[in-house]
Amino acid sequence: MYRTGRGAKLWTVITSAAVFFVFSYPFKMSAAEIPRLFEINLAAAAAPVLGLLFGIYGAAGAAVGGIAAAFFSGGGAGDCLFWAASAFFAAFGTHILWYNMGKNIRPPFMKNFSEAVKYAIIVFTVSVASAFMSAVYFYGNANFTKALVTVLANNFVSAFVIGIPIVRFVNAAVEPIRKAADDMEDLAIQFGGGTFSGADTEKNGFCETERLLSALSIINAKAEGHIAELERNAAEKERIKTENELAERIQSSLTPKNVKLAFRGVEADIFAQTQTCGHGGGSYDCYDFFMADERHAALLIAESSAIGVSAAMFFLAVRQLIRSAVGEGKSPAEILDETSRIMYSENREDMIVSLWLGVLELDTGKLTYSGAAHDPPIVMHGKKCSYLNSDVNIFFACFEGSSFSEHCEYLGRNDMLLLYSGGTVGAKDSDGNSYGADRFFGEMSGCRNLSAKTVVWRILKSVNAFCGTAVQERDMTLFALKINHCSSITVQAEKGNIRKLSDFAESCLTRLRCPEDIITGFKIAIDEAAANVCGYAYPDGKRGTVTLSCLYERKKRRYSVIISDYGVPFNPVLAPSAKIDGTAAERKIGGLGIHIIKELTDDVRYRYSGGKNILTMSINAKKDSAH
Amino acid sequence: MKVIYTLTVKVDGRLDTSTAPELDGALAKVLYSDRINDIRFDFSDLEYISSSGLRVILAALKKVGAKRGKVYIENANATVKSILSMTGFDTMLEIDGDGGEADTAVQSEQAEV
Repeated sequence: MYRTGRGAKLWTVITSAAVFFVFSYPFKMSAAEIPRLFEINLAAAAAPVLGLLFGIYGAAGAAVGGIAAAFFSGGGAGDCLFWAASAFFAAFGTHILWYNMGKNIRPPFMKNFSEAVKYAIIVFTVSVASAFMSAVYFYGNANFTKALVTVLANNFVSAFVIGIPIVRFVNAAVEPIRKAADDMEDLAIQFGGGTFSGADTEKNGFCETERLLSALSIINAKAEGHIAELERNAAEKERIKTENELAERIQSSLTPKNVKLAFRGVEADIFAQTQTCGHGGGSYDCYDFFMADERHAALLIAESSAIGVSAAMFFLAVRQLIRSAVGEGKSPAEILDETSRIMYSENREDMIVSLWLGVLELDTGKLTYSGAAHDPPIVMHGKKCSYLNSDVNIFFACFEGSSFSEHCEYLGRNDMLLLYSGGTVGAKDSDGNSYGADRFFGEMSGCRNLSAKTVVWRILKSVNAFCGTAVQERDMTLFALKINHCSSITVQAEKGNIRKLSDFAESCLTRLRCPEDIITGFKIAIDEAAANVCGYAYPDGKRGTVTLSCLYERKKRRYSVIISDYGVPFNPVLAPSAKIDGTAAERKIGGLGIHIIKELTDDVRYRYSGGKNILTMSINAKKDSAH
Repeated sequence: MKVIYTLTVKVDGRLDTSTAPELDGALAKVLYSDRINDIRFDFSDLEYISSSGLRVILAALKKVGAKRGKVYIENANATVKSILSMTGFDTMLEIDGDGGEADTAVQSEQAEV
């Protein structure tokens, strides 16, 4: 229950006093005078009405008005006291009785018969009391009964006859204000200003204005609160917006968009694009690619549940850790184990992070990778699109212990690798349908022989066309790696595949502007070396691969072809040379191959490293060649 | 009069691990009879030869050599010639037909690879 200040109450008292004075003064009342029977006495009506309407303040006013009327009528102190007491009693008595009698107590609207009866009973009771008070003056003499009867009749009739119209009139006058007050109170309640009890408030008087004002003041106070909150919200929104913009700037400044990788004979192009979901989105994407050393390119994509600067900073740290770990030559699974463990303690916001890391060995096209619950990348060999074979593993930096598995895949010329964030496949249209893997694959299969950039734009366009105007809650990242030219090819070690190796070497060396005679020499040498691998590297029906790469060593001005396999360690350089003289009958063919290689090339080197036989054959470029 | 049957074999492309078995098979078909004495390889369209090809030539040479037959290499390019010389095959083969025998009663057989 709310009340306004003392001002309103004081005004109620003053107004009531003035009303009572105006009503009673003309009758020049004196306690000693006995009014005539049924004389209509306005003063007798004024007290109950004021009490009814304004409660204790009306009663107090009536008392003050009574004193004033008695005083100005020439009454003594006794008169003043009598009228004050009498008026106050009549007014306040009426009020008390009205709000304590019967059921369904409500302010006196005087609109129905039962209210009139109730009022009649109340004013009769009050009049009886007043009559006795007046009659006390005449106690013991003959006028006692006359005074009792006259005052009773007079007061009752006056209060009843005049009071009801006045109350009704006042009610009618106040009605609009009451309605406004009711509305305001409802409004104030809506504003969260507590509860109101109109009846409770009105027990203390006819106080629509007061209710109105108090409701208004509550609304005002609440509105100020709301405005302050709105301002705070706006400031908060602005802060978040700024933070997100900052995060986006970090995001885009850290991530190269369009890079051509060139390693000796390899050419791959990489294009990545993040379409941020805007402010207040639900995910943050990050990607990175870099050359770990001159032979290894690293590809990283990650997605987190957190957004803003904290996510940006988190990924900044992850990126640096991964960059240095890749630089140390660690394998993707090792790197994920290590960095996930380190970042687990930094993941204070309990972000859910998925991540995928691949290291591409450029001279062999071997991609070694490990994922932490990230969507499996898609690889496109020719027309065939498929997910990279991989384990889901656990989320990154979300668990204390972590053990990530890794797999490998060989990428060759025209192969494409597509990394993407969950927000891309999970992009929603306005009906809540997801873009989905099927559409993704469909779009990918039409992307044969396109550049990485074109593929990324094409898929993004398709996703955006699907989503229409629906607001996306997650970042979308697409990251494509396209091997345009590759100095390496990996095939199953079978004799039927040797032609592929020499064909590949021919195209690759041609691109390196290698003279034709050198290419032919290499083709023969490759045939010799590869025949050896296919014949002996994988005994007992084991299957294995043979990898060939070509390069031009600028400093040494020579072309090299590297053939590697994971087979039985064998150093052909140290193998005994074939006998190259004697008659046909004495000749054996074994050992001729390595002899031919040694003869055709200027340098042959063998090393065994990382479980691989690596044979490097070099032919010096002639002085007049293009290089 | 001694009739010398000479088998002329024209080999195109590359004679390497991939194609040598094919030539080997083709030669085996015609060399099963002992009638062929000499073999004439026309290498005018041969790009190169590797040890797998040499193995086939050596096998043919051993076969006809037992009868004092000869293997001729004709029109070989520089690459092929250099392979033959670096492996000492040039000493066993008659290169570029300078040891020309009479072309009488030549039984010609062609194997294109």
